[in-house]
Amino acid sequence: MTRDDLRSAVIDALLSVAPEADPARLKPDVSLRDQLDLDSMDLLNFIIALHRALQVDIPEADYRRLMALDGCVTYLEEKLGSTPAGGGR
Amino acid sequence: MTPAALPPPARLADDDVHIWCLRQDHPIDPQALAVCEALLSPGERARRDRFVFPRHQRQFLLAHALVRATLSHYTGVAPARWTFAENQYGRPEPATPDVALPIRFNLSHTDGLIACAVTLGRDIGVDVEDVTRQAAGLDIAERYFAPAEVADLARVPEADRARTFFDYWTLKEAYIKARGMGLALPLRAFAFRLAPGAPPAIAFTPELDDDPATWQFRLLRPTATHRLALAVRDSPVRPVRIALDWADPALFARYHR
Repeated sequence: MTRDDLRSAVIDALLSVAPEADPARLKPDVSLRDQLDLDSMDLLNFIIALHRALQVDIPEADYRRLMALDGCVTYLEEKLGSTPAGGGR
Repeated sequence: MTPAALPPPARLADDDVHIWCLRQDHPIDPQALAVCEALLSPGERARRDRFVFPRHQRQFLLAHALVRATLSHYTGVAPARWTFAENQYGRPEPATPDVALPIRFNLSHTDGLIACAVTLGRDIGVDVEDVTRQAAGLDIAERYFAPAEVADLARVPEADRARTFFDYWTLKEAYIKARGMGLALPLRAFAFRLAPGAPPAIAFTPELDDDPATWQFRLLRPTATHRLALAVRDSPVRPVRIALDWADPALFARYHR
């Protein structure tokens, strides 16, 4: 999965919790909480949406890395990049 | 014009927890909003301006003006003097030097309601939610709540399930906020037990090094559609005295210097 694919999956997950957000207007390096007022419930629903789309399990200790768009994509790149070739999760 | 003196500080006793609520969906006088704006620090104004939607900017403005006015209400410290230090999880605490009272606070907001709880010294967490919110809450419960909580939700009649979910959710949020760690604490590692007529009780798995006998919890209904949960680290042997009041932004001008 390319970085662009991951970004697109992240934006889909974000729109599932903040449907009125315009991804083009979001600053990629600023916390989504600080731009869209996402709260803990939104964050957990965002993580559930990422899990459904990418079959990725994200431990609580890593939640802070998901706060901004760029950081989230980089985290998922690292996380999914560690999957053995051809292997499922 | 020489500014008048701040009003004399209100009393906050050792065993008091005061909660100030504000309806941000009610009309607010433009002059009161201008005062709120003046109470914020430049850093807070910059944070406010990062929100994409005006309603979130307004909510942030009111919430942070409420914090400053509330802290000043009990201490006589001018609102502009408040500075805050965040722990590694982002929880802010008052950091203004030379404040005689060890005042601590916690802030929460949801659609229609902002709440700021204050007390002296002890750990405190508050959470408010709009119980009409559409948030796929039961999905969250199944994935993140403790097994005993999920089982209880399954037993509740369907018509009451969403409201019971918000009872659990606000309590769990209030606890992780009082611990100052937010979602870095696993939500399934502690379980609330709700029984009619008794305060909510908590149990911990060994994963969390914590003692139920050091906590007090309350569930309140500040409006017909809002739930408020409070977590206070203090032995239930000596119950804290809880007061809930409504803040009026028009009165914040008393603290504007």
